[in-house]
Amino acid sequence: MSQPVIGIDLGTTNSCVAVLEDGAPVVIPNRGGYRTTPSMVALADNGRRLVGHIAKRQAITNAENTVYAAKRLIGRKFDSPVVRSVIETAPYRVVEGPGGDVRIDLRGTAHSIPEISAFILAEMKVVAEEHLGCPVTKAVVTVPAYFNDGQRQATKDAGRIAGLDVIRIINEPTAAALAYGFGRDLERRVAVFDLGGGTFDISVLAIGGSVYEVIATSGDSYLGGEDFDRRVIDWLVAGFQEEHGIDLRADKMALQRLKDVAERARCELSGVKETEINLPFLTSGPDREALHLQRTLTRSVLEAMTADLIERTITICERTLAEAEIGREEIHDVVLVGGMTRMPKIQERVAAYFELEPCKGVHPEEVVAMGAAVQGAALAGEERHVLLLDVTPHSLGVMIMGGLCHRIVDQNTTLPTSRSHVFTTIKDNQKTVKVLVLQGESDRGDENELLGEFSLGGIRQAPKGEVEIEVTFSLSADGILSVTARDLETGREQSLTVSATSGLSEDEILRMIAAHQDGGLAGQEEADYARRQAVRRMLTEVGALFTKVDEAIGDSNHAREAMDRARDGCERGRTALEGGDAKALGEASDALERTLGMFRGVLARTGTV
Amino acid sequence: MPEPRSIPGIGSVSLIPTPRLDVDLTGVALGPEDYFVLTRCDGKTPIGIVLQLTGLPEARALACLVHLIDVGAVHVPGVKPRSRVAQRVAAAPAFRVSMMEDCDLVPEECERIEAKLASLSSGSMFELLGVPPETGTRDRQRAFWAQSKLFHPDRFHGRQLGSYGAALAQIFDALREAYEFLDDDDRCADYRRRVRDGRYVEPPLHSAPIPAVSLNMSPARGERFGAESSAPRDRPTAPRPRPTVPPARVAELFERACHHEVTGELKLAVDEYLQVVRLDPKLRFVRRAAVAALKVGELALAEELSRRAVAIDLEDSNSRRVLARVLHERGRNSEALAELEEARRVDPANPFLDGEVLKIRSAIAVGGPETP
Repeated sequence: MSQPVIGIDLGTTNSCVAVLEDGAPVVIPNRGGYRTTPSMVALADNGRRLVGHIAKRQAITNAENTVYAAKRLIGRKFDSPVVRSVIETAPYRVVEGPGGDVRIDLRGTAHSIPEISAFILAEMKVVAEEHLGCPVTKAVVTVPAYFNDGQRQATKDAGRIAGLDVIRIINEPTAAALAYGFGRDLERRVAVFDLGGGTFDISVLAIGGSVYEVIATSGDSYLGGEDFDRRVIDWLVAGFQEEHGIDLRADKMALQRLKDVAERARCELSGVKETEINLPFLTSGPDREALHLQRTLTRSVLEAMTADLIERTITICERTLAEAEIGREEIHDVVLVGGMTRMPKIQERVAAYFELEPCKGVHPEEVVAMGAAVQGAALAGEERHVLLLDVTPHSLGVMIMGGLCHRIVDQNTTLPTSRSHVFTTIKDNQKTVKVLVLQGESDRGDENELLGEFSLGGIRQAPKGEVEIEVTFSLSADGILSVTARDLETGREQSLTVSATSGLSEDEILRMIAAHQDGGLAGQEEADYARRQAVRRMLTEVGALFTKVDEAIGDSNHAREAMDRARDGCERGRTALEGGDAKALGEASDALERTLGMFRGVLARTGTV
Repeated sequence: MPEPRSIPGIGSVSLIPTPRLDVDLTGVALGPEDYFVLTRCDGKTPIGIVLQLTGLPEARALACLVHLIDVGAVHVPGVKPRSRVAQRVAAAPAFRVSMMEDCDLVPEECERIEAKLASLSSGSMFELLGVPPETGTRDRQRAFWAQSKLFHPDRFHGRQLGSYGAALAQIFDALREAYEFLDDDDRCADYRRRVRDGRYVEPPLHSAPIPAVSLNMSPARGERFGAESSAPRDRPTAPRPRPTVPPARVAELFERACHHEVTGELKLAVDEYLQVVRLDPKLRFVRRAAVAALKVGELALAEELSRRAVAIDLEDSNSRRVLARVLHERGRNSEALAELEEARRVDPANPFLDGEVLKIRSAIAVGGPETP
């Protein structure tokens, strides 16, 4: 059998890997038994690289060297607004790379974003290899539909660094639709509503005879679960400020803990009506007394403070349907994707808008990876029926005088395609024409992204407007663009294959691939070992601090509860070390991590250390 | 001396192909390679040498030559042009010969692709999709999907395709354009009527794979690298206009005329432009000739030419602008103004019209004499 092609959903908060097995897509669980892996990478103080759950577990104590939500930075310029906002809020150090790209400084070494993503992809690769028992080198990786060329290229580069040949990048909502329709003989029109950790996408597909035709796709790159969390954080910070007069935003450690509880509370409220948010020893007051945060968040309050975010998704749905000239009643089914769609209010609002009960059959966190696996198998020729007719997510055009953008390939055009347009000169005896290739929806050239440029020379002497230059855009099924300009009379032509840059030079990528192979990533064995070591180390530390903290913490209800929890955590740690269960070990590690964070907090606030 | 090699269907390689200068090649389905082969036929060089001179693979060059004979552009003693149907069939093997080298497709797949590629240039969009004209939207969509499953490049992913890759892309593009074009009910109904009446035009072999509709197409509009776009874009679904590549000799002559115009030898330029217009009365050429005539002061000629240009495409605002300028020069300002108003109506985006209108209005205000 030929090598399987795996499907990877490289998410903002979590990643997932799937493969087609016995004709059906299955999610591959990681060593810890989890079906998704946190998209987190950390560098521990011993120089070991940690990925996934182990990285997440040490995030609070090693916030500065733990990278999360790197996807928000991929393929972006250092001076872009998104990067600015990440710099303000992220505990890790974001620095500028040589090409104006973004790097993250982990213990003195600058890492590019594709490199960080590569660590996650490599982890997924290992997970798949262990499961399949054979090497895996080919993958289909998903990205949000709105991702531009640069971001897609950066994702491909990440794959290369991780030792994966990314045979295709597909859009997340499209992948979800593939998984939704797979193995069912359907003929219907489906809307995919994808609200993930950082992004929102809506796509409409027509499905029939195992052909998936994307009709329209659109979205918002700055709208996702993190925005919901931020609302909760803002609410907590404001409440705390009111109560104690202290701004928690100044305290990075406290902020990281807030982020953690906000996310947890938001998730819990999908199941229950109200939840207790409890952060003992969060910070200290003016007299160095310990301050705790304790509040109750109800589902209705959460819904009220995020109502505008939910409305924004509906507005985008409306616009997308209108642009594609599709009536709401023409949609036969709605598929919900992304962890955020577990929120009851969102389900309710979507159902109300489409006047349809959203499809329940798919698992929102796993469906994207499963779809990627389906497309992988289809491209490998293993799955003979499925065909995806994908579209170009952005318009493509050239710059014309006046700084305007003249579109040649419209947004949502099915791939592959080739379109041309005839242009002419603006000056008498103009000898060259410059072709600036743009991507984006704006009519103004400078508001779009410049993908590349070239000039066609050797134009004959002629009055303005007399030379005919035909510009042809060809987009392959992979979305690779080549542009040709041809002088229709002389036949002279010049062309350019637009290879988007991810901010990394070819040399750098090769160097990273090499470094990756040498240094390698902590394999699962090593990861397991590292986890055990971490639990042991934390147990020792908690043991050493226990008495000190017990004295410093005083005798309040809070204190007693906190100490009970600490004791419980230690107990679980010891049990887990004896047993071989990776999941129990992970949970114990989580508990210890929290205890240790609290201990350190207490000691720092009370000045005992 | 060995006997000269013989080519089936043509005969000896020592025969001499002669270009037929009296044949009007505008609107004839010729691709760049055909033109190239045509330029090598000078009435003196035998076929064997012509084929070598082109630098193309022999089978390909030969296919071009056969096509040139078929359309009547080239005459070879004793060789008769074949019927249109036979031509199509003949085109396919040439394609195969030049591509057999480096692809791993099975023969049936090759044949399927070749046959479809050859069919792009014949038949209606309905035939392309494989549906009867009266088929409804749903079935057309199903047909498009079924055809996509046969020809979408992804179905051959990871295989060495050679030139079949480009062929597949072209086929799929044509399928998609047909599908999208027919997706509009009015357009589809209109097209269906025309197909029933047998009124659709065959597209050029080597260019846009969309049949028909080039019927009412205006020539490519001068969209300046610079000026605001003038033509309203009726995409996403309308097939694009493709200018016919003018024969090399017309292009050369036009080039020379332009050169003389910009270097100030206007008289000479006008003569050359008139020759060009006689060879190929394309809008652009006619309009340019009118401008040159105006520059040199031959106002009657300029008016005649610019009126001709306007008649070629009533929607072209630039021709009307030239005509208005001529009329202004002849002192008929109110007529000029009317032309400009019309130009503004057909193309409100043309940025040059406002200035002209102002100029003529002020000329009228000053009270310039109106010559009847």
